[in-house]
Amino acid sequence: MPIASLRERLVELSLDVEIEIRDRQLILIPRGRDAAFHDSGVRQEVVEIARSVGFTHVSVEIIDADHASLRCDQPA
Amino acid sequence: MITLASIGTQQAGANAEVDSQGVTSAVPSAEARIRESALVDWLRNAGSVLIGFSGGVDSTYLACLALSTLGRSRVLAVIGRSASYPLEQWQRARSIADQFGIPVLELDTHESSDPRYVANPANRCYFCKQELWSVLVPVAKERGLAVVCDGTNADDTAGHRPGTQAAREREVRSPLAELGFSKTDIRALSAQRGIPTWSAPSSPCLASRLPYGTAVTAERLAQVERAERAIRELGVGGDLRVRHHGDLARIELGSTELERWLIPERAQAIRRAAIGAGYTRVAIDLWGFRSGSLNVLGGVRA
Repeated sequence: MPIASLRERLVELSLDVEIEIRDRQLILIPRGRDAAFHDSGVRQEVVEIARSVGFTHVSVEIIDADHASLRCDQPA
Repeated sequence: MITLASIGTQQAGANAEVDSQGVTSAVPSAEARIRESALVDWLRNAGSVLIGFSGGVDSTYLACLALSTLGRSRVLAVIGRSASYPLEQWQRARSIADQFGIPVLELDTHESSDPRYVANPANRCYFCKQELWSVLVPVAKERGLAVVCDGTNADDTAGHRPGTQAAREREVRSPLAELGFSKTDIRALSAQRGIPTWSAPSSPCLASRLPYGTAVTAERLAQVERAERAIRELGVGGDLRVRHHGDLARIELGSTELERWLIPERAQAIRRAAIGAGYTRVAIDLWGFRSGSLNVLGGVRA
């Protein structure tokens, strides 16, 4: 499964996420709090990308808001 | 109590559209009306029926039609209770039965004692239905009810439904499927008759939230049920499934609700609800609700 190209496509969408793979599921873990998944255009693109590389499910993990804030605030 | 005779020609209200359920109109098509006439004939020919009754869209419509066609003395709706049957659905089934005067019997089923069911293979539903009908069919014989039937509809026959084999083995009939009723037909005809389940989301058993191969335990089913109830209490409508992946709850929502609940503040509320039910991680499926989505994950063609 071409994970590298998957990562590239997600970066092109400006999505700052870690990825986790369980069976044929793709789980996106946002590094920041607001990763724009409520935008239906972004969502549709992500689903298409995931499908194109063979995932049967793609979901976004809802990380704890406080935890996300801390991570966002950390210097690069 | 509402009598079906009094509402038989009642039209649905202005809120007759439920897009997330695939229903665009509560007005039955001409074909649906013809099917309903055929169902009335089918029931008359049957003479008396025992219906496997869950309180869902299909079995409720069938029970109401049977009641209006045959009368109370020749209809029995039987609820099979087990850990995989959600409490809220049981409450809805009882409420509808009370509302329409449907004679109801409740019986416990024990599929959770069958290791073949507990192992959760791709044909899990076969073992569940085998148990259900082994309990219900003898009741029909004892009470002199001629035909045992269920609410399977024509759309169901296209999917992965190993439970239908168990029904066939027990000569259980599925008149809605046999007469070609689609889910849309049933919703529209139910709306016209004032049957409140016309707009209810589909509600398969809780075990359908566990991926094949994940053992079906009372604890897991209860956890899924708690999470779904907590998320409903937030105001989530339409289709909702909490798919159980160990520590992770993967939430599937209908398209309209997905749009609403992916907004960060609302997503946090869903997260808290699922965490409160015992999950440590929560994810929202970006694809949205798909009936039988775990079939795909399990390599089963749905």
